[in-house]
Amino acid sequence: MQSNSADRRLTDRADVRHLLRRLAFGATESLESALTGLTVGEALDVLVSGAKHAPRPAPPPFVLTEWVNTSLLFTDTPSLEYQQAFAAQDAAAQADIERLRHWWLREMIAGEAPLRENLVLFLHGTLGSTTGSVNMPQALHGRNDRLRRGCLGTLPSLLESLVTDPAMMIQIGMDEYREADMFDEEFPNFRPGRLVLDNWTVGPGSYAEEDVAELCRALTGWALEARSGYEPERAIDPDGFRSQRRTGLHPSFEAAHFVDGPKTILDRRDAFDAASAVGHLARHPATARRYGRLLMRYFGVEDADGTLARRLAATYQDTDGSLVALVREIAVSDAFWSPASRWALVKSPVHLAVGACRQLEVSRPPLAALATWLAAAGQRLFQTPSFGSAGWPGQEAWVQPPERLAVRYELGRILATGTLPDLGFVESGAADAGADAGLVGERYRRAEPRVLLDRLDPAPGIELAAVAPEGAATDSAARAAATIRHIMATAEYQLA
Amino acid sequence: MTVLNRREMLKLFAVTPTLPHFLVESAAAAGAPAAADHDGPVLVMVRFMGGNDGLNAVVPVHDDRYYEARPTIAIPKRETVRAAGSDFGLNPWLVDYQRLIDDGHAAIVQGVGYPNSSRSHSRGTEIFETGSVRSPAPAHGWLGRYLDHHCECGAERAAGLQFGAELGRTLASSSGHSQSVAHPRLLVDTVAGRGAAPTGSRGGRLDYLRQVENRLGIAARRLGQASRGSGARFDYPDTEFGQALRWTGNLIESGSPTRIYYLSLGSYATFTSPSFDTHSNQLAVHKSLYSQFGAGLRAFAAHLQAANQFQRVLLLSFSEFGRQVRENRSHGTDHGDASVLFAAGGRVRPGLLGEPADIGRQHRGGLEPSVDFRQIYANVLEKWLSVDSGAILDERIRQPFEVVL
Repeated sequence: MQSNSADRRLTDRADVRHLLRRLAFGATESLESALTGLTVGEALDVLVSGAKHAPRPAPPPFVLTEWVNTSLLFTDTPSLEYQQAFAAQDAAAQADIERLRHWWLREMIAGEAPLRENLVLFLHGTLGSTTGSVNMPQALHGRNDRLRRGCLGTLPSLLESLVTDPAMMIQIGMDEYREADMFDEEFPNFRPGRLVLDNWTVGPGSYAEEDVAELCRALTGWALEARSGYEPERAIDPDGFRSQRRTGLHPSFEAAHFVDGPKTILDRRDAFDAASAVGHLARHPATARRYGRLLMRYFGVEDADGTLARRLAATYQDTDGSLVALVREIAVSDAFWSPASRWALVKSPVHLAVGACRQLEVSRPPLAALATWLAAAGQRLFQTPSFGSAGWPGQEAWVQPPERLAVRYELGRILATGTLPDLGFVESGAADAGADAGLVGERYRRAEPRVLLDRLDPAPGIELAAVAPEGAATDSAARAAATIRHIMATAEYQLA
Repeated sequence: MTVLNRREMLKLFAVTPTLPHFLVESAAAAGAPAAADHDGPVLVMVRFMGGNDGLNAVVPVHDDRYYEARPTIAIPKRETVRAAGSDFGLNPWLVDYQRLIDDGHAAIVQGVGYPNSSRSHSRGTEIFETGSVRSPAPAHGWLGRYLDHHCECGAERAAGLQFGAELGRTLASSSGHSQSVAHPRLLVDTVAGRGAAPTGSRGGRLDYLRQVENRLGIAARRLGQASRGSGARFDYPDTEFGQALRWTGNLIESGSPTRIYYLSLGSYATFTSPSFDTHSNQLAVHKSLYSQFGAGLRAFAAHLQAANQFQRVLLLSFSEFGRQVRENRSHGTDHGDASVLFAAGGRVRPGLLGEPADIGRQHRGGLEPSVDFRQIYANVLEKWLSVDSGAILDERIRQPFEVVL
């Protein structure tokens, strides 16, 4: 069936906005006028061109110095000294990771490549992240930037590169992974292979246990080390945990610990190493199908008859897994434009926050408050759910537990006042600091309720009369602040 | 608008069983504040996160083997607080709890565990939360199953209430009678004042979100009523646990129909924040956690006694495992087996209960249990919640262990 909406012309505002809500964190004034009148194909060209040509954000200064393990466990380290060193190192790292969250949020909000950042967020969620074992801001930044470069290329080449990505190596347990670990009597460990299969490639249910073991063998041999020439001053305790012995973040291949020889992984027998095994899996039809499904879910497309799923699987194979090609295929599909797909996506907390800041042209976003709010709303950046398959499940799960809906309703307060609501059990008793929408861009700071309702673009159903309630302040700035808070605290605003 | 109170509403729904679910939700949400409910037992579960050490709670001050096994973290006899009618001493940071014991309102059960206990955090937690050692474990918790089948909960959405970010296994149920709350003040401020959102007309995700909003509204109005309770007058610690306990006290005082509360003490939130998983630095961690626990309970008891509600409240702690007898190289202890369990309330059997830990009877360095935790659960189900424990636990427990009489 040849059905394609590439030539559909974006003359209807509802269509422009639908496209921008899904691909670009929502319709800003400038993007909306840039795309109006173009065909869907041309609009995609504009967004993809932005993704390709906008500069990548400069690294924050605190990731420029090389990571040094200041809590190595030496044979003569008293345990109390080790604990103090670890606590100090982890506290400093977590503080920098929080600043890294601000750094990424700023790029999503103020950068010129919303489609690119949206794809980075997709990959970040799908592949997973932890700040527990990966408590090195340098490694988390490095991977984030790798996803930013990789999202414009093909998935197989990105995934192949991840086997030597320090954050990923630590996260999936590839750092100093050896065959002896696999069949350890007390703690058998097939974690790296299972995570590559479940989270990176084919997904659960598409492989047998023998595939896991064979893949694990292919993933052996790598370790993270200091640059060559480094000699610790004291002897490192050989019995310490890996994190207590890790001297640096440079991937090095130790042939002696690699399980050489042919391996059979998902019906193919070859002399796989880590990269070629991941490459093979990344080109498997099950991976093609899985990424099609994941992208449809991420972009909120209802594909009742499976037409789009089949096209995406084919496009994946034809383009060697080009993410941009898959996004284009989704955006030109009939399913994407069908009534069933309209307003069918519960925005992620990041989409809510970033979208609102972009729509309202917030020039100095309250990044610290937003990062705290994101954690309460269930989407702490660099920290995805770690059980089951990685990533945030999305849709209804964003309001599970139900309390998260109330947290989402408080986003407008942060933008209108710059203050956080009381989170947790311990009440601060802090009152709202003057509600005058001071953070909101000039264009909207004193805007009429109907202008704000139009710009914030909630699902249909909000009555203008309800937005500007009786007895509303006569001061236009206070009224704008109240209007923003009101609209953002509706079920309608939660949808894209 | 006709305003039904909760009992009337339950009666109405009982005779119109085909009423669509969403209507039940919005009608309940639209109703006036539910009638205060000051009858019926309340159970407050407190999870000690991380596997708590029993020997430094109830200290065997006359046993040299204890002092030999713990050269740096044993508690000297002179520092302990004496437990009434016992040769044992309590951890000095449990001094507030000791007073509750002396007042006849609290107990510590010693030697609690189960045969061949797991030393895995996840498996141990699962076993205590489901009240079952079956593998795979039941999907729902022991108190979730109580709410499902044996509680006159009606359409009550917060018969089980967990203070925390996610609903854990204990209150997980098939009937959805439980919720978790991590931001009570925010909930009150954001949704308590709203009218019911109309649902059911358009279907889809918008409708779903409105149903969620309405459900939240019920809990938010309860919390709103509770926030006017007298808890602020009592000296609850200014910690997550202390303030969650204050909300619990206020909810009970204000007549919330919640039957089971669930709170956590200690946290895994970061590597450096304290939990009971005291592989290192055990004395300092216990100082922080036990002083919160003791002071919190003291305030809770005073609050509920003043509100004349203490008689219908039972608080019970649990922890996924105990710890080994011998201290490790980091001034801490590693995962072990039997431990202690705390029980407090207006009708507990007070004092130190169960057999004292026998350091001579070790299994892989841990302590052998003398009380199966399911014996305690059985007693609580039968004597406190008035249900047949055999219908909830895997098997009928022949000898319930009495923490309430």
